[in-house]
Amino acid sequence: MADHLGSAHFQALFESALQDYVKKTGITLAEHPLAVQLQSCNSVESIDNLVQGQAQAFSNFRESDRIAKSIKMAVSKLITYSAMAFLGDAFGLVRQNALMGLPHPNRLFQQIPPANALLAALVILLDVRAALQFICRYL
Amino acid sequence: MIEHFLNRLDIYTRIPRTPAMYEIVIKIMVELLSTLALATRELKQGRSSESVLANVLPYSPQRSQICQESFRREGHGSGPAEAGPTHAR
Repeated sequence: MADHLGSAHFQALFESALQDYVKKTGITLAEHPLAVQLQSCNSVESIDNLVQGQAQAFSNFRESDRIAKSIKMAVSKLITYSAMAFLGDAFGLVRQNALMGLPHPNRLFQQIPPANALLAALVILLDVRAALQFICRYL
Repeated sequence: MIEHFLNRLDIYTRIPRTPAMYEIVIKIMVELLSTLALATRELKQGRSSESVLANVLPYSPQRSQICQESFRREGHGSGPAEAGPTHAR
């Protein structure tokens, strides 16, 4: 019972963080095309390829090696966490009410494990950064 | 900053699993997500501003100056012309 309550508490904490993410960015993590793509990746290599593809935008930065190294380190750690069973024990799958306040919220519930949510947020950040660089280059 | 969060997370995932430890791990993940959200929001706002400028100041010196300033802040050299290949969307 205590475990169940603890798990519910952890889920509530992370759900709140996901809702905060939506408020701050206007992006619903589980619905973003990159997050969907990430969810369908079933190997470390495929996740790494997806992230490194987004990280290409940094290739001409002065400190590109350091940035690439940081991204790679972050990704490898997040991939490890996403594979860790004990995090699943603590969270279960975090349920996300994708469009709260709309008339039929139940059918819009989506699930995204916490480590995957973080990976998706990182990939989206890289994607937004790449788009900004693209726009600046052609102004 | 994200690196620090991840390193801290790494430490907590290596020690014995207790409810208190679970809570710390989740709180670190929440902070990480919040940090990524803030960074994404800032970049999106930058992108929006650039889009607005693109309509308001077509090919103007002001726009070029703003863009160059933005690149200088990122640690680039003299301007966008130095930027390498961009990610195709």
